[in-house]
Amino acid sequence: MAGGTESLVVGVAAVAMAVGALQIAARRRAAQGRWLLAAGALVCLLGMVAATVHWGEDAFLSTVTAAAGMLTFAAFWSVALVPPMPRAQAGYGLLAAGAVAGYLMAPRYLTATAVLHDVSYGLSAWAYVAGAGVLVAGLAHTPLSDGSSEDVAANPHLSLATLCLTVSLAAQGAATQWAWGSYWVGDPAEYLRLLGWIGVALGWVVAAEFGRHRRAVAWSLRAAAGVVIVVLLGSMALIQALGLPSLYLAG
Amino acid sequence: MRRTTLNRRITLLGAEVWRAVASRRLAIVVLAVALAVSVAGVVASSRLTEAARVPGYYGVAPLLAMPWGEGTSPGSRLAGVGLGAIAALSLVRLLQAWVVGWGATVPRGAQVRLHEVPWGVEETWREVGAALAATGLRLESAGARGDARLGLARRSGLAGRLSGAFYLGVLLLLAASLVAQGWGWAGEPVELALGETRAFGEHGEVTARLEQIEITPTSDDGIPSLASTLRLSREGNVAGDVRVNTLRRASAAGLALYQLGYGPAARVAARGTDGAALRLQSMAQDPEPRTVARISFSGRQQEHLLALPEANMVVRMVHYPSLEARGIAGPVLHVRVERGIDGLSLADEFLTEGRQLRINGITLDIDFEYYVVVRAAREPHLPIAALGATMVLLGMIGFVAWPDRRVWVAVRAREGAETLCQFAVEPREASAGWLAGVEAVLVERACGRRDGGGN
Repeated sequence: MAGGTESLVVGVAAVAMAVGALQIAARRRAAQGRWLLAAGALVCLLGMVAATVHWGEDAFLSTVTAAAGMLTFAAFWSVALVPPMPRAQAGYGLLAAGAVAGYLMAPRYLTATAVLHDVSYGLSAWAYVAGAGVLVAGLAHTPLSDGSSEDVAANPHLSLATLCLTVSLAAQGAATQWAWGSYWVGDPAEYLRLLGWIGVALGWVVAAEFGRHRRAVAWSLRAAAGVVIVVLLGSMALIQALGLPSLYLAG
Repeated sequence: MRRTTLNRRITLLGAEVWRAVASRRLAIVVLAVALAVSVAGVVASSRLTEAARVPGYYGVAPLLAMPWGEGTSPGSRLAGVGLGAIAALSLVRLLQAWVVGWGATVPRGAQVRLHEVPWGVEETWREVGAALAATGLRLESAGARGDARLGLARRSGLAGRLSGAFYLGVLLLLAASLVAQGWGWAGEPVELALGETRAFGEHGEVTARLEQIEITPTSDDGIPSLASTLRLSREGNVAGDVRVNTLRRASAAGLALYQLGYGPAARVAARGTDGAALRLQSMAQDPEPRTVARISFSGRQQEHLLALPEANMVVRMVHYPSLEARGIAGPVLHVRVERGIDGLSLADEFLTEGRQLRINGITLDIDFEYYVVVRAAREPHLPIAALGATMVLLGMIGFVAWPDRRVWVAVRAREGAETLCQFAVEPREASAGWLAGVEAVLVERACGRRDGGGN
């Protein structure tokens, strides 16, 4: 159970997100609902980032934290980037509020002793979470049925996600250089995170090259989102399950 | 005639290569190969030695830190070829992005728009340039072919150049790797107990003595934070003290120092019945007799033997991170004192903290300490790598904020007063609003000219 001021702030912001989402869903004061959702998501994210830095928590190691962060980012981007249908916005808002409630009730998972217990590593993890959130927000623009919307708005999501993941990898390199004296140590966790970056960059280039083929664009976004979500939520569990040696789990 | 045909073929081939290098399909191929390499990297990391799986001390598994393998293996050669290809590709793309007149040729499948305008060639060129400038594009001349004037319009100013920083960043990162290989050096991790002196530097030119260890306990009973003070000497002269924190870089005497981790150690001293200090002799590490012995329990060696020749005793010490069988959760030191001549057990204790043992009038003082693991490196490549990473990030911001926008322009005089203006754009841009804006401005000005001319 999380404690302290951060938890209180995050809890209140989650309630604000839920209220905003319900307003959007009910189509009553929807504009105000969108503001509430975006502001709630932002405050929630700030609170979670502060809490993880304070507690020395690694978002890559805590599925609950990563999922809550990813869905909150998705709720934020669904308002701030290319707004999807109101139903999708409301859905993201409610999902994010639920995930944040789970985050507040879940136990803390502190970083391993390899503790890249610094701002740079924290930035790396949260930039990855932000990138995953952008892609999840983008999924609302790729309905499974071939709808009537004019264009699949994949490029803004894929390009922004690539930028977020680039920031993540750069920050991770800075953190490992500072700690271990090498910005690339050949760790399986690093390879998997790089895999996510390549997946998104590939999706972006494919979406740009075959922009007129809506199905190709939609599947680029879906595939990129799938890779990044799996890496974010499951890479460390996979490394543990396969018994791979990782500095990020050492200690 | 034959020579002209050959020259033409070479020109066409060059144009095709230039076009291919700029194409997104090549980027897709490069990224797909990189994807396969990443998957191979995950698989390869599973083959690391067992020693890498279980770090002997907190904080690090140094066997993992090997960014460069032996340069002669087929894998390394293949990687070298791949990195060379990426460098060449990045260089060409950088030139295409930054050098006027080096822009990529018209891509395959480009969408072509034609306009007849009532100006001469030069005036049309200026009008097209003005129409493009209204949407933030700058028309650059790419020469002439026959009676046609050719050009490429791209985003002007910082918006048009920033994305090229990505390729410069890639080149700088690759250059940093070369500098690291050629002029950099990374030493092996060295274990240092308090008072111990070890040689650092590529040729052992710097020595470091561990003077002091400061331990800061964490508030949540986690692993404590540990800082050590090293006294560095160069060729026998003291160069100064440097404080090194765990997993935080420090630099001194031209070297970067990394305290990769730390582990448990014990300080052992013995006194005889008259209170005089007895000499201790480590049977595995340093056989030189000392009145105070410091022993490191690293991943390689968790058991140590100390001989007390003057007391005819052998002290056997085994360190355990925990001993659940005896209900001990934390680190514990099993100390067994034997008679030297026949191995008869004189004492058998499990210590969880420092203690004094008295055996047959001999006093053994055993204290718990730490040893640290320090690695030295020379890193002339770091500023280049940092600059490269910054450039990559700036380039990525350029890609996101100002996506590539290009128009290939051809202006050709026609019979009569009209001039033919041709725009070619990538297929995805065919229905872009900005292109419609450019065409609207051009058509409006052309109509104005015709109307003004009484047509």
